[in-house]
Amino acid sequence: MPSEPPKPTDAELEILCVLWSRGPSTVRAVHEVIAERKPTQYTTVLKQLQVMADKGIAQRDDAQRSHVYQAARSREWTQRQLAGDLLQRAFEGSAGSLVLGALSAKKTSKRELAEVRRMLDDYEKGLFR
Amino acid sequence: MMFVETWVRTPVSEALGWALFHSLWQGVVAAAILAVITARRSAQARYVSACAALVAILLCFVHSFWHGLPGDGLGWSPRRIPAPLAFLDASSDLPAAAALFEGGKLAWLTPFWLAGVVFFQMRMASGWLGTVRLRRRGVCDAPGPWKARLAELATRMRVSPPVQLVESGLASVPVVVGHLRPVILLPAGLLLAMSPAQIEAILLHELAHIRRHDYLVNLLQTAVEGLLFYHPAVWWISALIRAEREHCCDDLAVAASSSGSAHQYASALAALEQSRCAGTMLNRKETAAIAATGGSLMKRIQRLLHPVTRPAPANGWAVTPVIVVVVLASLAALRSTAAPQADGDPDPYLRWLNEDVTYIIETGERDAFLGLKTNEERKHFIGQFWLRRDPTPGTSKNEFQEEHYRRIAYANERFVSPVHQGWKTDRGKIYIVYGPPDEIESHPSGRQGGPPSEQWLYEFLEGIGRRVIVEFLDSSRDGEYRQTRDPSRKR
Repeated sequence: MPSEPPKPTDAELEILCVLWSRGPSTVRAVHEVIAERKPTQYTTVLKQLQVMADKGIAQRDDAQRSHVYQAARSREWTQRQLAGDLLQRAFEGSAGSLVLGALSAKKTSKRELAEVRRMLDDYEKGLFR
Repeated sequence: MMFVETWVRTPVSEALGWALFHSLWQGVVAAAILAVITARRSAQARYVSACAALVAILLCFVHSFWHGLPGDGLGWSPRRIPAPLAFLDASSDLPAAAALFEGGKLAWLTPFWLAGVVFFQMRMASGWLGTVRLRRRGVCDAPGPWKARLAELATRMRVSPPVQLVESGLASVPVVVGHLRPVILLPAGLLLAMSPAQIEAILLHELAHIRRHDYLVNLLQTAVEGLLFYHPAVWWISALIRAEREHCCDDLAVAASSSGSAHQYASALAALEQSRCAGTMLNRKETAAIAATGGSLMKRIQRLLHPVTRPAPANGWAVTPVIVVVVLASLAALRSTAAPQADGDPDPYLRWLNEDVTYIIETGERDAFLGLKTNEERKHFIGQFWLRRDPTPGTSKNEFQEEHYRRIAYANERFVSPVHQGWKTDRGKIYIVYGPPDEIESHPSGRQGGPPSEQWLYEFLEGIGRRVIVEFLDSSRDGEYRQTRDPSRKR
């Protein structure tokens, strides 16, 4: 495994977000999504992707005619990497209670999750018996 | 330290101290009532009652603070804690010791409370900034078909504001951010990883939050938590609100889903949690938080799968009148304790002695008054006290008494210092005892570089002499003028 890629900048994070969301994509596809939120030149996106590939944040697949890029690391990995950042930690502590989600900010333990699975299965069995 | 001491001695601080004290039992009462009346109610009923209880505690707090303030609409009459005369006389020498007794020890709670409030409100502000950043940083629009699907679901849910659907590289769970322009943030890649039916279930849950204005309510709730942070009952109620809020959204989401199946919805929640845990289980910091979940997801799923244990969905608003009545009753109770009755309560008499007439009552009179046993006797004594001083005993008017209270009112209005009410300051005291001076020489910005000063000239003071000059110096330049010479001792 090559050495760890550096932390992405905000602009790079945006492009990574597209790559995670859409899966491996051509520069054109990435540009289309980015341009939906703010006017951006195709060449800017191309340049950024090349830089990201050099840094090891993104990977380029040269097998096809138009280059396809994908994120080098998973979203979870990058989130952990960013969580080392003090600002990010402060945010997690205080913003966690301000946003509303289908799940609480705190995680469920593995044991509990297994119990939940069992409950769901039992319910299903009961239904089809 | 000086600053803290000055603050503690203000009437505002004293009133706050009392409000903090009263909120302790008020919160416990509210929580107890909440626990009893909502034990077997629907999620919506419990949610509404818990919100009402939180509002009630806040209102009680504001009410006790407001009524603890000096003046309270009457312009004068400091309340509750009678100032011991010994300390009044010594006030120029022992301000700190006097403050401890005058202001009551409760006022010393307020600096700690204020520090806590600052901490919690800053934390909330930083959290809010964090959510603003989360909306913008590392996000991209969700694919068009999903945006269209969300619009359909929003119509089904009767959600009026336009809702944005955005994928985020920073969010690790789906969340709603914003009230007027709500955004649903999905962790980037979630749309690829889960089935469309599961995604729909989650979107419905988030839409339920938007429909119920949960973001705004939660923001206000967090602000109240930050004010009443010292109270365990408040945290308990707040946690109850958070839990019931999710239950309410679960119910709404199941009802609005195309299958209407609680099982499918519960499976979607479990799958979502599993995908999150699979990705981030390795993080040491986060595993520390795992133990503290209190099994909220399990409770939710149990509740969804076994509606038998779910109580009949009673009307959520049915319990609100109960809470309202309780709030009003406790406010009324508070009011009656705050405004002491004329009988059976020694306070108004002690106050009369130590505040109203403290400067003019003679030692013999004071001893006699303190020796009295019943309030009837005290009432009679006060009548006689004024009668002895009435210059025109035959008439119904008592000019002396009227003039005396006029002087107190004047002193309170004109001689307020940062620390003391007007009547307690040196100038107030001289004014109340000797009346308006014949001449005043005032140097508010000091004479020849000296501190601000005032000289009062009395042409004649009975028992003291002619052309008496009383001098006041504001040597610390904080508005607290102190008398430099005693007119009764020295010309």
